Amino acid sequence: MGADSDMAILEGLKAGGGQRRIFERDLYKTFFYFIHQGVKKYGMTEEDAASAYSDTIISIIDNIVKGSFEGRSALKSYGYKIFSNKCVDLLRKDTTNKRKVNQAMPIDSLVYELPDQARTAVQQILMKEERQYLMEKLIALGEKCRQILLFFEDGYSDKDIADFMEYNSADVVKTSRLRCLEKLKKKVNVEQTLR
Amino acid sequence: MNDSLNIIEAYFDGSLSAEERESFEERCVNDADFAAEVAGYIAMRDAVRQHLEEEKRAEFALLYAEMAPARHSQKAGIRIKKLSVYLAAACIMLVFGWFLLWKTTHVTQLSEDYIAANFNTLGLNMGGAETTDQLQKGIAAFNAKKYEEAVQIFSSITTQGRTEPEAVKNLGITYLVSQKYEEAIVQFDRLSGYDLYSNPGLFYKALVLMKRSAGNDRAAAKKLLQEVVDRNLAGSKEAEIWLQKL
Repeated sequence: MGADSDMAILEGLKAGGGQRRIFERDLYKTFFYFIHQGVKKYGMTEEDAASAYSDTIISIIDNIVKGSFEGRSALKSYGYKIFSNKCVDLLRKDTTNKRKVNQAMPIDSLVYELPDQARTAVQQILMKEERQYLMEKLIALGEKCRQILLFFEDGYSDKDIADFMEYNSADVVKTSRLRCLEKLKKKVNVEQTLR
Repeated sequence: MNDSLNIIEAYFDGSLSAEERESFEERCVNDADFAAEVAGYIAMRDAVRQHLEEEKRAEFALLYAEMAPARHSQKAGIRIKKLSVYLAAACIMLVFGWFLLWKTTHVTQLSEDYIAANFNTLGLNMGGAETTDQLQKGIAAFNAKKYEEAVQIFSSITTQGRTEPEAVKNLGITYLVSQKYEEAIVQFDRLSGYDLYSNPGLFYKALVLMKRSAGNDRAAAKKLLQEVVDRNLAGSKEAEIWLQKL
């Protein structure tokens, strides 16, 4: 894979819109052979290697969409580094209790965007929360709300979401999105659960 | 609208000024109620992210199922290559005779390959919380090849005006693998009417028509696949490839 293909995927993912999903699939197909390398290098099962690979692609997409990957290294090297880390993490999880730790606080949680003191204060409350319950309420939120929140979390702009879901404007999307979060909050009664 | 939610959102999307950010961070430390609101917001966003990643993993699992057999057969293909040179001449005559038959069976074969690769078992359940147990039971029945039982369970949670796209999809798939094509089409039509993040309804309907291949099914499938590509719906990549082959 060369610089041109890298550029096509990067631009396709950054451009957003309905075409983005095509580039996500292209990216998945491009480095599919990593799975075989994972099996050979780390002695893991094909299923585990495929799982690490899926998580790798999700991370790469996320980093590209958020602008964390600026294209200074080749996509292949960047992807392989992430994939190696995911494989090692997976192998460690098999021998340690790390999986449970990660389930308690996802490594990509927004809480890590807060500075130390604020993070400690918020994290102490967060640790008490029942994530599974929240997930169930999210599913029960209704299709429209669920979709709007998923699109936003996937890095689509409010304008893109307005196009996909036929809202009048990006502002209407933002208002609707925050209402959906409020609805979810009421359903879970998050604050009471957290205290 | 809750004003705190606006402020919290503005903090995380980076639209607060440096002073506002500092004040926000101080409130997290000194105001327990505000910290709880921030924690609530983060918990909700984390849950949405987790849900999103599960959907993406499910989509990539489908892609893996499509690509893994191709990779394995590619390896086998290299080993067979030398032998095939000698066999090729002998096959040419047979190929001419077979070609006419191939045209009619090819469409069915494409769909059968897809069904074998993707619908051997049902995976991730993304249904509503109140019907999750029933969905799991239906999926378990399907995976145990107890299709009649699976139909009964999925039907019970897709009636009475309930909005349960995952169950509708699974019901359609169950009908498809049971070769009850009319019923499968009804379910996939229902599915395509839902406003989903990734809706495979039309693609699956085309799949049913390709599998049945009766009357005008092939032409109708082609039309649907074109629509899937044009609207970039779930299955558009496969549809693109199939359209070249149909």
